[in-house]
Amino acid sequence: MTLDLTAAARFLGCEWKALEEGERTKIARIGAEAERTLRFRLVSRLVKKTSSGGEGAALPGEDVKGLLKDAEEILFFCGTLGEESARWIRRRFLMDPAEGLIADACASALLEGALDEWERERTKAFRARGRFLTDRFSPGYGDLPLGVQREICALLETDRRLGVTLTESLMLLPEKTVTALMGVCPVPQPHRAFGEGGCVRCAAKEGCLFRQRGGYCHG
Amino acid sequence: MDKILLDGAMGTRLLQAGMETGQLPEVWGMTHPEVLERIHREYVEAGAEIILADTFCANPLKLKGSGWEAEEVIQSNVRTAGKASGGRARVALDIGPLGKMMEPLGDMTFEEAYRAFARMVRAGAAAGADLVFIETMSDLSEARAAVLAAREHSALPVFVTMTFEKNGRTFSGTEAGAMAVTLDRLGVDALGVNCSLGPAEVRPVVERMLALTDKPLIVKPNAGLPDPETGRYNLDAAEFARQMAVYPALGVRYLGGCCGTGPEYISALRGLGQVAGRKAAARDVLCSKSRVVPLSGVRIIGERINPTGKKRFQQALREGDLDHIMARAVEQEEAGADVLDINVGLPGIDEKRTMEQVVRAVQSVTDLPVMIDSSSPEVIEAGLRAACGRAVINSVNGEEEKLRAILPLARRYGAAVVGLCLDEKGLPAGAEERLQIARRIVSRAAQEGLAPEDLLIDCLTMTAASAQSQAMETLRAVTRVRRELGTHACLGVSNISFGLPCREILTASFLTMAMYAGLDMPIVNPNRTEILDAVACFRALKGEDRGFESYTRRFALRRGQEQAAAAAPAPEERAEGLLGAVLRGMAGETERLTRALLEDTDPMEVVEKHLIPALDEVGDRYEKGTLFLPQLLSASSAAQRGFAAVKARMTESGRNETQKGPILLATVEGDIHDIGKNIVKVVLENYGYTVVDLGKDVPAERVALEAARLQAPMLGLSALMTTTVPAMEKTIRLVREKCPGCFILVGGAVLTPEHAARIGADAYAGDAKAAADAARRVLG
Ligand code: B12
Repeated sequence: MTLDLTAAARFLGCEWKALEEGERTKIARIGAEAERTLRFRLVSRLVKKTSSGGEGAALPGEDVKGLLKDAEEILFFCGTLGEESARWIRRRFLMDPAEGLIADACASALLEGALDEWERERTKAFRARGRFLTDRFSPGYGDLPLGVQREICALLETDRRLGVTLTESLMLLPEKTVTALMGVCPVPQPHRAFGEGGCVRCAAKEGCLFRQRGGYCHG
Repeated sequence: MDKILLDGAMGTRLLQAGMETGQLPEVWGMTHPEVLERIHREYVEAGAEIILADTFCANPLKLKGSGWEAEEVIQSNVRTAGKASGGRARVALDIGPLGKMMEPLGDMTFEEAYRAFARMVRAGAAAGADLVFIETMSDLSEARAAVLAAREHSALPVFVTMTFEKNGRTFSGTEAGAMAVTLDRLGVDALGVNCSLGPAEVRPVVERMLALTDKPLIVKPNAGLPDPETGRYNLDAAEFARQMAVYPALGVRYLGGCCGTGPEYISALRGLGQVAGRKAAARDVLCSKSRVVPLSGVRIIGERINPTGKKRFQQALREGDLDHIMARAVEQEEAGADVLDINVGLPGIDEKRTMEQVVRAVQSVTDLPVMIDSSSPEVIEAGLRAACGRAVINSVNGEEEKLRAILPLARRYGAAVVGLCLDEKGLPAGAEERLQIARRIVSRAAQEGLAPEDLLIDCLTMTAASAQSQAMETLRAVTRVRRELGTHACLGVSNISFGLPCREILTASFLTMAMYAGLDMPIVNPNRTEILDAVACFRALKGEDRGFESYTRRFALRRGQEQAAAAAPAPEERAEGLLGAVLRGMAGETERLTRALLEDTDPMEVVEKHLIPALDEVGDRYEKGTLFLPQLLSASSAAQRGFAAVKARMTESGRNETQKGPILLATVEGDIHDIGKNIVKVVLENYGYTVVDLGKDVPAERVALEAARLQAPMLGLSALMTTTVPAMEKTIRLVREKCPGCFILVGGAVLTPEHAARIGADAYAGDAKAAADAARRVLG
């Protein structure tokens, strides 16, 4: 599992390229510790697409409908860095808040990176079978309600298989956890980041630090 | 000895029988009793001597919204199992995890878990269950809550299994050995592993347990490993049984199956051999949930979590500032402590509640076992209930009243206990009298079922300056206690040097002598280099540290550092250097230079002429964009170290400084995105404001309460999700009610200035710098 340091810098609100050598070394050092200390785990499940979403989990909303318009099946997944990540970040914060922040950003970047890696690997595997995956999409993005996480977590048995639980307020615990889905389609799929279905419909687009700098969050 | 067979999977069988995915198996089973009975009967006929009722999820939390009460489901399903068994097999009340994460990292309190389990246990016992089977646990704290509930609400035998990954740990970091020690000492009747992996893969976990407990063991694994896409398990019944054959041979008594297994798997286990005898396990250990500490050789007990004589720590206790206390815990662990003493005795606080909170907070950030230090049996019991692992009680002494109050607690919670060599008559002067008291403690402890190795006898250090002959008397007592009673010896050593110059040197020398005399558990300040140096040297010379490995690691870097420190900077260089050190974020250097300045400069002048200008410079460069956030952050922590040095000097001379604030910060309920809020926090602190950070996912009520309690002039709220903006609005409304004067600033990517105004905030800030500007406008 490798960490993209530029992504970590982005989560800290700055550009890797503009950083001084000393700062880079520091982020790289904490990043290396994150790579050594944290473990990524993921569970997934492939289900048939139904008229209301996926078998076992209804998916309301226009955004997901657009994303899945060609899909025949849906690949649900949940990835986490586990409870250990929360402990690790907390310890770093207690000893030095600056390093704690960097640790937090590194963990987020590590999680995103691990999900990307898994996504690439799955895309390849499905391609070999003549199937195409859509971008990944999470509950809470666009108009897909956070509430569908209940069914997704139950479907994936995240508590038993991953140690991931949902709070009453629909937060995933441990924090460094993401739930998402991808459509499995018979035809190639476009990437949507900047276009329709991407930032255009994103809830955070107004205040988003990434967009202000001309980028996007990859989330 | 005969093996005892358990049953196999339930969920899989119900699905095969027509239950749909997404339905609660317990409710489905209750509404299809004839199917349930058939499944149980198949297991009994296959040879299962204990069957688990369909009650795994029948707890109030998981049944919420199902329209059923835990009691109804449990009663019905336990009865169905009983009917199926017809007296041929024992029926277990099956208890699984509640599906929520425990505090402090999660949102479920120990009491909430305990109450839910207690309801299940009472219902199960009333329905006629023969035993309680707690399984598939991932968090040892949750398993403990279930065991205590089972023990305190029924007289039924208690079995516990947890589910582990290949590395021998659960998802929540519970280590197999630590689980075995903790539950063994808590008095369960059998323990082991279920689910997890296939029979072959769980072997290291089982071996680890065999090494640390003599209790009967349980192995109930899956039918191999699942195919990631189809979810099918890869072992058939014959192969499963073949892989299971090793367990009776290792001495494992209870055998069964979990996911993917069925009656044919259980039936295949019938052919396995007799249960072999086992070697006695190592019992002389302490543990947390994640680490086992064998009590062989010298073990360091860290004494820093204690308010005595520490103003800052007392303030932290009064204000409920757990961060300060947790930092002391992490610090000691990093310095090399093996056990942490926890004392929160302070007049005017609720010691019992504080003890619980501090124990949990400390254990959430360190791996170390804890020592519960209080003079009140009530507080000790609260600490023992909260502590995960095998803890130590500090302390009993020779007084009968004490022994009667404390020893049963040690037994009930499986703790070790410190025995002080004093009694009603006070502290005896001679070694012989101390030994007599120790002997009394050991024999009273034996009556309570405690072995000598469960005791840490403290022969008590006297101040050498006032009683010079006592030093040797204490050491003689240590030697005899160790030799004649076979207990451990602990000793707070720093008292020895009280009132004498160069205390560290004398303390370290006494420590070395005491270790040679037999002291194996010194209670010390692990942050003191001299002390840990003495321990490192002792371990090396005694041969505990083979080939001087840790010694070399410890001292390899020391020479270079000393030389650098010896080259003291000239006065004008020092001020220059301080700015540079802050700007470059060199914390150690900043602290050193600040200390040097304080030698001949007034503390306030150091702040006003040196530290504040350095910070201004940092702020300026940040605003101009020539300094980036990470640099600002490290500059900030460097400056903090400088301030801390000044503060320490001022507290010494009894002065108090003024601070601006406090500014309260919180990420609203339902949101976990807190990097932005944390950045704002560090930047505000950098600008000299006192910040009280309530964390993330903070309920509106709590924010309002804290704002009112602290009379906070300013509050910053963060939300990164549209779904949590309503929570922000609610928070603002409540704060307006409870703390009308508070200026409310909001931020986060989903907000805009217009949004902010609409939900009633006083201002919006787009980034951390804007937040600092706003603070300056409001607070100056
Ligand atoms: C990093 C990240 C994560 C990390 C969490 C890291 C953490 N601990 O904070 C991870 C990967 C774990 C994560 C998970 C999820 N995320 Co997320 N995440 C992000 C992401 C990409 C960046 C946020 C960030 O850290 N930015 C960097 C910091 C520096 O910027 P900032 O937070 O904006 O803060 C600055 C300012 O806003 C301001 N500020 C912030 N707070 C405050 C407070 C005050 C008082 C002031 C004055 C100023 C201020 O100052 C800060 C510093 O300059 C955003 C996308 C985005 N564009 O923002 C999505 C985003 C917030 N996530 C989103 C979602 C939905 C989720 C999930 C629910 C997805 C899922 N189903 O799994 C999960 C939830 C996980 C859980 N445990 O419940 C959505 C929310 C959509 C919505 N409805 O509003 C977003 C917007 C992504 C999207 N494109 O839709 N996420």
